[in-house]
Amino acid sequence: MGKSSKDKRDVYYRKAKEEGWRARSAYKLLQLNEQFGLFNDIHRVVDLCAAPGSWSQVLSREIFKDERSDAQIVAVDLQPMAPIDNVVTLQADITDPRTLDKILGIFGGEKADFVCSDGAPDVTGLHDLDEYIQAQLVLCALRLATCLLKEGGTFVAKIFRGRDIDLLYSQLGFLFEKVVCAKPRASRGTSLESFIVCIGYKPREGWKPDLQPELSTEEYFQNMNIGRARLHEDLRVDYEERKVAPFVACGDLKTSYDSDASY
Amino acid sequence: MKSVHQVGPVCALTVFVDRYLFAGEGPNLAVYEIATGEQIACRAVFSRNKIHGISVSGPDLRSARLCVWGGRSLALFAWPQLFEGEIDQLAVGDWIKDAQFSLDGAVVYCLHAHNVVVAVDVAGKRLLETRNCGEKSILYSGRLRVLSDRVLVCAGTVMDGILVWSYDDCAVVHRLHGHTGSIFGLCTSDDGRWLVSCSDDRSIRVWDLGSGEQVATGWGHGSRIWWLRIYAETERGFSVLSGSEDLTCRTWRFEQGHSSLEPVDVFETHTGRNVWSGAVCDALGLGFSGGADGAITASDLAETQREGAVSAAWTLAQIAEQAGAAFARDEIVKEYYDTGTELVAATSRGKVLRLRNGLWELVLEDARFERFSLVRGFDTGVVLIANKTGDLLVLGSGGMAEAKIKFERGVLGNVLTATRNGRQFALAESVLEEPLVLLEIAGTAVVSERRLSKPAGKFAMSAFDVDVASGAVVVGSRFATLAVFPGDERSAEPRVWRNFLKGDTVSSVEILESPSLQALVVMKDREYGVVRCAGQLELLQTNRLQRGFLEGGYFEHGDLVLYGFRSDTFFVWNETKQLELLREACGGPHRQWSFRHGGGGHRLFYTRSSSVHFRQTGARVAPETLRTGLHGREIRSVAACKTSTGHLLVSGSEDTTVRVSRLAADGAVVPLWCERQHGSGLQAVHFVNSDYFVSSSAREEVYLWKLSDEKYVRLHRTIRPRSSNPETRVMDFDAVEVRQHGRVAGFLLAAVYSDSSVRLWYYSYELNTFRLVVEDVYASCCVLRVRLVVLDAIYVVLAATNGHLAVYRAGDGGGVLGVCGGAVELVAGPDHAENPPRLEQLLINQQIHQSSVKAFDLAVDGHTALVVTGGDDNGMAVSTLDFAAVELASTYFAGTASSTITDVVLCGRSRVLTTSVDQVVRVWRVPQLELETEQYTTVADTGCACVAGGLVVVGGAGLEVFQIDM
Ligand SMILES: C[S@@+](CC[C@H](N)C(=O)[O-])C[C@H]1O[C@@H](n2cnc3c(N)ncnc32)[C@H](O)[C@@H]1O
Repeated sequence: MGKSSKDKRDVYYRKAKEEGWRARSAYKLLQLNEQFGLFNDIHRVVDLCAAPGSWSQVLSREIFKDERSDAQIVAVDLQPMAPIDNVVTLQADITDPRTLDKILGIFGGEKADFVCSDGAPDVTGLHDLDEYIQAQLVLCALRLATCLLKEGGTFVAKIFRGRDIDLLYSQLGFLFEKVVCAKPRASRGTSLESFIVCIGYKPREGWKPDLQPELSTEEYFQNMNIGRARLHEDLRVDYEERKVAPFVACGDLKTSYDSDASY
Repeated sequence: MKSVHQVGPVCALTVFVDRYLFAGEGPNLAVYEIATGEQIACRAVFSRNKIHGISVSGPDLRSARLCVWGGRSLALFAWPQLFEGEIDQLAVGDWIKDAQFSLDGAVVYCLHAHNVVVAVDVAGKRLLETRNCGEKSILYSGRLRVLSDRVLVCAGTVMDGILVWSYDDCAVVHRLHGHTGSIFGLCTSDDGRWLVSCSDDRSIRVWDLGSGEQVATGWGHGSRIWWLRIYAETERGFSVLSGSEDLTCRTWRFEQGHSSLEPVDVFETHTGRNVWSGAVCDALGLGFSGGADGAITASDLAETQREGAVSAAWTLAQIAEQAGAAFARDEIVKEYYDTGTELVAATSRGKVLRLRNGLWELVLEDARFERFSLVRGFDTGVVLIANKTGDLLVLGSGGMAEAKIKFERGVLGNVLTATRNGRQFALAESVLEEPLVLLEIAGTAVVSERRLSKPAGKFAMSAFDVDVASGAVVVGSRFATLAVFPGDERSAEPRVWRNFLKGDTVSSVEILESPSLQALVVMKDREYGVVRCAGQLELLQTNRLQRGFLEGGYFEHGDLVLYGFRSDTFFVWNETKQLELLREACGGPHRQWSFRHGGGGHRLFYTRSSSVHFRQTGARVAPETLRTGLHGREIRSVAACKTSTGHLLVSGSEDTTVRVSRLAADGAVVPLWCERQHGSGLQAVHFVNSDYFVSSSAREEVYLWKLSDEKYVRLHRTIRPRSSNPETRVMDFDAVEVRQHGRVAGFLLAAVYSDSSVRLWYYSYELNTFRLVVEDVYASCCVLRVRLVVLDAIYVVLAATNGHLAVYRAGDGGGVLGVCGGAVELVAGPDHAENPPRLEQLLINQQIHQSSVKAFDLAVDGHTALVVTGGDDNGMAVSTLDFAAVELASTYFAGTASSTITDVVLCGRSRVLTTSVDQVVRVWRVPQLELETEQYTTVADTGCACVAGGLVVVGGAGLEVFQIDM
């Protein structure tokens, strides 16, 4: 069988090489920022699933353009990452609650303005499993966000728009003023990838930020009352609300390249 | 809408009491009797989730309790509930990795993806308790082993290797480090002493759970390994069956004290990518595997020990000794023929030997057959031995006869044999250009002789067959030549076709049962075809294998079977079911070999380093396949066409193949052909009419296919790429008929490309050529879909990744095309213009969606068209396109799906069907866009649909067929 048309290098890949970004993903974050002004007034951020580090590069450039004593970037990934100016890197699994606890430790009780995750698992090709793991990466990032994000803060994460994405939309709706599904033009139209942009963090009423590392991510959210299914004595299946988040394509049509046109 | 058929990844297999195989086919649980392959039960267990695991407890089927899980769903039920009653959908709060019954069957332990074990009371279907070891990162794999005194939990993490903990005291027993990357599969021995694991790193590791040491490692898979099964456990060791992304299942043997896990066998039983599940039936020595292609196959793990199985070899010295005949120093076994019960062989010194019941004997010795002799035979068991001067020995069971083949001028160069309807034919060729001699032999006597004039020019016969009904003789030759001698006109010249297929040597010709003269022709260079040679030579079917050399082929129970050599092995391949039937490592292609099939078994003789080797497969204890699969990767486009018995379904996939299947009225999909000519993943397949369809892919491949007899398909013509960028994909195309002088002369094909090119090609049936008549570039984005509309002019409607719908007036292609009465006319033959004209005018270029318009369909009425689009933005738009007023008026509907809408199919003017990645098939009323029905589909990455009568076919990671009332 011939080679299939995967893994071809596109125009963003070449552009990233030229402009010194470690990955073409940088343009996705830049285009998301163009659309949502994500970088306004952010100083303290966590970049999860950050390797090789192009998002951290973008964030570092942005946050450290003026001298500020409270600025901070923590980047975490399973993979080792070459050092980036002003970025604290941590090699760890974000699905392990202890990793999240470590990050909280680094912030030492201070809040963050922005939590993002561009995490993508080892895709197996088994769609339901891949979607589940992807959703778990989002939830791990969200768990950290609920403990670390200041009120009104922003959360951005990569999602696969598969069959259960509407569950996640609905659940995020409990925690943020605005939940949008955004597709930067730098992300290929042929891939299921999109980004969930959650603006205006509003902690659950009466909820005290407490990571409780002894809980799995699932258990953590079951107690938060955002509509996730729980484990019951009689093992019944909960009804879970589904919602479609508004969709926004970002990156200017005229000035941005079409990632599908040229690979 | 009702689901009537589905093919997709098989993610769970379990053997029960050595007699039954339980299979998770999407959400359906199917149960097969292993020995017969018969499906004895099948029902949907879950409404949405695929089955990922099955545990069965109990002494027999009737009293069996089942635990089935998949994703976050769990079901606990008794065997009779597979046939009636509801099955409760349960949940344990997370994705389940493994579930096992307690030894008494009263409790089920479920290990979920966050490393927590949930114990469930089976009778009451209630939660008993949950336990964990305090570490709750995510698991890629997990296995529970219930032992008499404890429950062992093996958890495969993303980064931290394997955690082994004990359910009873929640203590971590071992942390096993050694693999790199995620752990994808785990399996323990029955007694819990050994653990095997596989990961991202392509290795399999054996761990001693007593000491926590890694004791052996196995390498061999070319890709990630997904699962492992331990079987054949003995005091000293055990075997392992593994399944991988590299499409193979492999067997391995571990013996205590050895640090390597020894590779034993390789089974290639799936296509595309990924073998997702496996099971072993220890008692019968069978391995089962379920693939992403939807196939379930049974590999014989003990083939060499089956009844009738022979694996033997004889050196020349052994042969000489047994036969009681001294061999000369340079004497070798040169030629042989296998009758199916015995081998008749000739040596280079004129000895004729026979191998019967494993013993060699000398039949005769004849100096006339020294140096040059040919040994051939018939299915009847009669064997021929010929020499250069035309002396012929005919050995039958009743005795031996002699005959002579006389040529006018030359000596004998070759003789071939064919058996048809019990009649025996031999065809002899002279080394000079003179007629071939066809003999018919009854018993051992020559009963007729016929001279067939040899085609002029290069000709060297390599295969032939006789059509006994008409007497026609079909001869294949080297130089890719086929000659047909009609039966009725004895003296007539043959009809000869040169280079009728790619390649050189015709390795076999088999006349097929048919009203006209048809033959299966196999070329050594891995091409094969079905030809009709009644009048003109007509290629009905063409295809090729990806690797190897083909030595022959035949139809068996309607399946095409091909055989030949591939690197160092001889292989037998079921082309219809896409399944390897036999592989024998024989050290590469051989000049001297003999293969016979029949009765389900295979016999292979071959000579290697002057020894004669024999391999005979033993009696099968179970059928090779329990379920036939389809594409091994995502299906990107489907199209259907009506036939006299139902529909033909064409599907194009990322696995680079085009599949042609029969779609029965009840929705069953029966694969016919798997065409491999494309070199890259498919983008689109559409019918032009009931005889032709077109497919497109990357590398600018546009292929025209012709259908024949409602079952054959051949690649008819390809379009040569225009650009130099091999990555350019042909995203979509549309075709309309072109007439000339009131007759259909060809069709106009509009193709759109990922580099924004738009090209119009004229195809002429008469000339079998594509000519470029219009070439243009739309913008700088990828064009995704196109439709042609013919009204007062030819219009090209296209949709692209910029969210726009664009309408062009195409123009006349530089004076080539005209329009008359709403149809395209050929005005003048297109020339070979280097620079064809551009599209005449861009009439409309309007943004409708925020990003990609993934699909659209339109219905024309007068000078307007109803256009329904679906986008990457989850929205749909219903538009009226007025060609006369040049106006596009759209109403946009946001959030019509929770994910990308991937296909839009109008059913008449009032209904439209959509597919989307949220795995919902919806039917809407248009133009108001009211949802009429929606139906969840188990096909993930849902990407395409077509309507065939009362059936809807949905494609993606698999295929599902729905019955629908419209
Ligand atoms: C697309 S890459 C991120 C690219 C990055 N944003 C950049 O711009 O360079 C996805 C990353 O997710 C990481 N990842 C996946 N699963 C993870 C996990 N459980 N914990 C931490 N990182 C993970 C992978 O190692 C990979 O480096």
